[in-house]
Amino acid sequence: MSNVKCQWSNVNAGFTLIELIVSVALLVFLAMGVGQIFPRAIGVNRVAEKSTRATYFAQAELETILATEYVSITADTTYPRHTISPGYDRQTVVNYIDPVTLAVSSSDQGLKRITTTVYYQSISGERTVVLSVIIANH
Amino acid sequence: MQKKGFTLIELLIALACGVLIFGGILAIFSLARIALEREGRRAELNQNGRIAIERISRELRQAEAFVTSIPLTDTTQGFPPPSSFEFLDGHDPDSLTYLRYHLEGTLLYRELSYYSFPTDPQTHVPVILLDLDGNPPGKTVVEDVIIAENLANIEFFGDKTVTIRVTLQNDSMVIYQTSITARNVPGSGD
Repeated sequence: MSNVKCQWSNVNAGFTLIELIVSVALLVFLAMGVGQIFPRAIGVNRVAEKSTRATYFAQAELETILATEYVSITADTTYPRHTISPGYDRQTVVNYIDPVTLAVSSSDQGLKRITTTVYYQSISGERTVVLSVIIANH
Repeated sequence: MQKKGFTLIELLIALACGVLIFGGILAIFSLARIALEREGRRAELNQNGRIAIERISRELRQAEAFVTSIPLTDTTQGFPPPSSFEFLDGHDPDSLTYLRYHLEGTLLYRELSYYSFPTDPQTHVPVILLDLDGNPPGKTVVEDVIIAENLANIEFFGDKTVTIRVTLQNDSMVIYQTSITARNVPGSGD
């Protein structure tokens, strides 16, 4: 009981300097944490933008290849990775595939798969967009 | 017990601390506001770029004939890619209507029109048709509406597979590029 009474008698004492400094430091620390969100959010926006651009580059490749006939699209071919625009690389692979399992096949069974990969740089390193399409011989 | 207030020194220090903290918060707030505005404007560019590409792609895929001639590449000598592109709309094969995407200043327009001869203005005819005197048909614009803004340039080049490149600009700049094959247009690749 004497302890409690002692605390009550001290009610006018206010904060000590140490307490104040600690609380301000804590506030600054939290504010810095909140401040970190902004560059991160901007970075994520940039990645989304680059991802959209990369998807359009991939779409362009598929459209270009699909403009030709099935027979004139060479299978078992890799169009090696090359830069199409600063910061964007593209690689395309054409394979025969098995009509049942859709796995890569060594012979022509009437289906080809075109897979195009666009590589782009982001804050967290290299990222890719992969688009794939299957075409039939008819 | 004697009541004791703050001394002047204490008050000044407290005030200084308060101003410092308040200033810091204000700086963060102002930075956040600037970032928000800048990102908003950047998002606007991306949004307009996507709209332009998606809308043109959808209709270009179905096009049945091109009216505008375009260079094979963007580096073709003496033939820069045009910033307007007209083609025969393939979504409604019976009506013979033409679509033209064109840039006016920083705005992208989509123009819907048809061609006819003065002697029979209600009958739509192909743009390449000539009347008995060898005159080309006249153009009637049905509508011409804005579909995107903030464009610095739009370029069309290629053959049956048309490459569309959209350059968007306000404080910053974004370029979107893709290619679309007009499947119904006769040409190389058939």
